[in-house]
Amino acid sequence: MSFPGLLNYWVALILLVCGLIIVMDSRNLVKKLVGLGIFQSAVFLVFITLGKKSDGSAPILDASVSVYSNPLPHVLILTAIVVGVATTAVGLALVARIRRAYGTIDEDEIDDRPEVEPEIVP
Amino acid sequence: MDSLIPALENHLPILQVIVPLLIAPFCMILGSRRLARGIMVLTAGIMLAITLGLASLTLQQPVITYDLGGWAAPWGIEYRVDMLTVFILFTINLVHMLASVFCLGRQDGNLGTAARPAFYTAWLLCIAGLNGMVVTNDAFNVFVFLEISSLATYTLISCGREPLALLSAFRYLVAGAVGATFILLSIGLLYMQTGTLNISDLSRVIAERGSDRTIILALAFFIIGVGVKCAVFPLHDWLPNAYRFAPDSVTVLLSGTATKVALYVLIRFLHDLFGADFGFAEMPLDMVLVVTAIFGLLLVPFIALRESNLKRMFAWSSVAQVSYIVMGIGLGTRLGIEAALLHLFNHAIVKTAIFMAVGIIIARTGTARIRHLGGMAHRHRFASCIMLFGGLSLIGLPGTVGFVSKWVLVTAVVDKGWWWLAIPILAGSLASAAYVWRIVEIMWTKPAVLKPEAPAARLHWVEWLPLSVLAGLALWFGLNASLITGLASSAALGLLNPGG
Repeated sequence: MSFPGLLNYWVALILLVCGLIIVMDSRNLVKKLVGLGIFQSAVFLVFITLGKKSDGSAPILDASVSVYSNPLPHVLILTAIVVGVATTAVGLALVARIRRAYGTIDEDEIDDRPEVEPEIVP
Repeated sequence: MDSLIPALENHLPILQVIVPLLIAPFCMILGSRRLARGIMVLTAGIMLAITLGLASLTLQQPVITYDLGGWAAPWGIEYRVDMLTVFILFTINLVHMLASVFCLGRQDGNLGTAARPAFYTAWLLCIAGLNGMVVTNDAFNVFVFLEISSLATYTLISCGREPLALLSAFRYLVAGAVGATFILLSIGLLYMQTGTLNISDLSRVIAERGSDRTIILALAFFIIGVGVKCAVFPLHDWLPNAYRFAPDSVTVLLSGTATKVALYVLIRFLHDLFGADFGFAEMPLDMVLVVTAIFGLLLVPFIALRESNLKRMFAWSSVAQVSYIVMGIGLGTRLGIEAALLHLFNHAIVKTAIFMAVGIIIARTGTARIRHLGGMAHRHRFASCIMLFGGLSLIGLPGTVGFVSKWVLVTAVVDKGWWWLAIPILAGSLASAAYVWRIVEIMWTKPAVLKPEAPAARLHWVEWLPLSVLAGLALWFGLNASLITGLASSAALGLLNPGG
């Protein structure tokens, strides 16, 4: 196996772990979403890599093209990217409303507040 | 008209998904809340009718396949309906129908300022995604529908009145997105080794070529990913707060549908896609699932016992009940799956009824604190009695539906030779008796804490009707278990011997 070899998979693995650590470790809600984005991109990279053939061209019906990449994983990832964008959008919308309600986007600061429950005085 | 019905009959599998998906935007476009509510209930009715249509078709022909756009199976997306699919479709669409009616109630104590039409769009998208996950026979399609329903669910939860609903929705979003991405990665690894995405085709290729490290990795990622969505015990963190802060009608919908569909995907992938030989003989999956289930059903009731909020207490109880279903799946035998399916159906009905009763009480009193509930049973007799009946079923008292499924589960563990598993099952039931008894004691025997509400708020028909239907079903299936047991058993048989 020549130089690139499994390089893509190693990069994907490192990004996957980095993303997951950011999601779990950061207390800032926006940073959590950033981590989620990195984590998802790592999986996209795996899909894109597995469709690619070395020296493969785009799948076009042409006399000069004999080796071509598998377009299916790439199409799947288009869908998954759309899903990822939608998730980030919903997440950011929630963060915006959390900030309006609490004035902060730090989980620790929100957790420190006592849970207010609408009380009914008997 | 005569030619229209047979023509529609061939397209029922796709109609099950496409009807709510296409109708959903209209709730928003028409811009009227009243219209949106009407559309929602009508759609729920149509979906239940489609499910019944599919059920009658599966009686003549055990497996119905539908090629999307006419592209044949391994290349195109295939929808596949068998007994198991119909069983789950019936469960979720029945719950959805009743939850939609319940949602019409004027008083949803937890729904923020009057729901906008978009709320009903999210509601329909959620149920469309769930139905899609059930009927599709394409692994990538499962992921897409999972995300459709999940994104709609986050939106629905964030509609809760208290600001913590936003944070609960956000935490569910992060957990859910990580889980779904794990499932996506698992599907990618499977495609890498097999070159196909069709579930039946995948199972054939995996059986032929045997497993390797990549497929083992795919299985591991899948179990973790779907475990988050099912709220299996150590991965349940998002569920209690999501259920607690969601609007009451949303909790009613989610408790009966969302986790149930994720459990269905678990069953379908383990037995159809990976194959029982690989998951249970080659990999120690039975041990993994059973051990997590034991921890779940023994530890969670104690958390529920210390809970101060009525809604979150029943949410914890959902986590415990999921453990019974996971234990049934983990046994890997036909009886185990039968027990899991029975418990899935029973829990969907009972927990939906309980959350409706809780919703009625919260709407009247404005509080869900357990210590505020003193004497409530005498003020809200109907809702309290249903809650008691549901609680007894959670314990698994003879004569309730909960007894039927726990009995089958005990039979299944004895049948597999793991009779010692009956001990945690019984202990878990005793522990759930403790938290149900705590509520009963406070509601029936303690003095009232709150002043009675000024006008005696009468029950609206949208409140008592779905509740009565659910209670009636629970009572009927509890006393006359043969019908539902027969259905679950033939669904399990159809899963293990396809075509036979």
